[in-house]
Amino acid sequence: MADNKRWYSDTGSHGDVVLATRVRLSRNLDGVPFPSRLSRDALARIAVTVCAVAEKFKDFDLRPIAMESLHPYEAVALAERHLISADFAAARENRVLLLSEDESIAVMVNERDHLRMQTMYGGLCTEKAYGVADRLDNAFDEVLTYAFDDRLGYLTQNPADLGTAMRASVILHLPVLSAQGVMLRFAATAPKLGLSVRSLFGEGASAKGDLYVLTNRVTMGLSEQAALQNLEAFTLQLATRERAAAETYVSQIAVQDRIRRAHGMLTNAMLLSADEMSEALSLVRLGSVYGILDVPAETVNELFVAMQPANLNCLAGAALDASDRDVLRARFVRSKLSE
Amino acid sequence: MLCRHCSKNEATTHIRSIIGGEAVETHLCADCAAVMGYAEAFPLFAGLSDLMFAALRNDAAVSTLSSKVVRCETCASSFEDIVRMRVAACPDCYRVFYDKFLPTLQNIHGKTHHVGKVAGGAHEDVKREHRLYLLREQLNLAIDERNFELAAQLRDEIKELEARGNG
Repeated sequence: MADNKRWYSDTGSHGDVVLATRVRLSRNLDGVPFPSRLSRDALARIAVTVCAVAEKFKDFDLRPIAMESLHPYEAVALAERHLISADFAAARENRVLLLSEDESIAVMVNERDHLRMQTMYGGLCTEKAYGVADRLDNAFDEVLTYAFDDRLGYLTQNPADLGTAMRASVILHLPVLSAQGVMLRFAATAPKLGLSVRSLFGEGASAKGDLYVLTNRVTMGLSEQAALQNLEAFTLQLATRERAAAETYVSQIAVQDRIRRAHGMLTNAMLLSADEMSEALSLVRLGSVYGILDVPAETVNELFVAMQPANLNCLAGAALDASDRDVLRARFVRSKLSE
Repeated sequence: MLCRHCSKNEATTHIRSIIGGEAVETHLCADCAAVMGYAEAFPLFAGLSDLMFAALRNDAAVSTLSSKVVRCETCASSFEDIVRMRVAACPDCYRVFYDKFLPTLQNIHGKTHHVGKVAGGAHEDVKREHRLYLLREQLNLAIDERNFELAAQLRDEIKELEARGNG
């Protein structure tokens, strides 16, 4: 496995269904109000302190990025790649991002908590993602004094994060279960298992690109390991169901027709909107996973991410308007899929 | 019982209020209750966040009745402030208002005691307390399951750990 690949360019374990695994840990400094209650000066002091601590880490090569120094679309592009939260991209004052070269480690400084560190890798890999996050957490913990209570665990701004203050997520591609309209049912059972399901792009049941995010909801009274096992078990259950349903689904000539038409459209279109692309890419990915098309799944994963509006702006080096983006998107997708 | 207002439908909403120091009971049908504004007092579909904070709000209402407002020493927030903001202002808020947070935590997580990673090499006491908590939970479980051999082992372990803390 190539370790220097970004999560969206690497197909890991269970890569047919699971695009990526992410673990986020929230931590705060003891005796210091949460960022939303701090003055500019106090926030700046925290950023300087955390950066100075991270600079000395030998195991982690984290580079500080002052969020204010970024162009707005560059910040949004980071959120589109799921390295930071949407809020962190929108309000950039006094916020710093510590990012590793391969984007597998990202630490948001002065988000809703003083530190929110995340690790993200391709495929299903809860153990690896948590392992790295845990080591990074220990490295900070050696130098900083965390806000911790023996009864309530890690103290966070939002009571919903108390306890382990860990959010572990997997990004899933479930085109067949989506087509069969059963995703709503799974989304409804997830809370009973202490998990939540939402769509990766957009809201509610109409998940663009049939991409979903499964996350642990409960952080109190459940250890990190138990929460990760729980997440992994439900992920594997969904993967098994998707595969079982896919077998008969992709053998239908009508479905194969839709897959090939989607590929034909993507390799010929001159204008391509984000929604149109997501819908077609989902079919192409299904065709790729089941050997109907000769397209690597990681190429599709990359396009899902790289063709989002702000990432396209980064590619062009300017804030394009929507119609110019549609031209650039079509050109890029055509060339990528014809490689 | 018929609705006291329209005297037509079955009364399904029963309201007990205190007016001028006297308890007054009102029985209304669903339609009349809605018209008279009582329906909003019993939301059928309170959003998750509303549910989460319902318990907090009750506590805040009680605390406003007492004249002395307790404030967090670190950030000067009162519990009312926290309820209004829907988030804590600093880590110490949780320590000051620990009891008041418990119903909300029970609502959100179904549990109120942390299990898992423990912070800080400096917090040896915390680690010991945490280990003790886990052992006591295991002990209760062993007793429930009538596994007395395991219970005896756990009890010894707890005693030893407690003695180390006092020593």
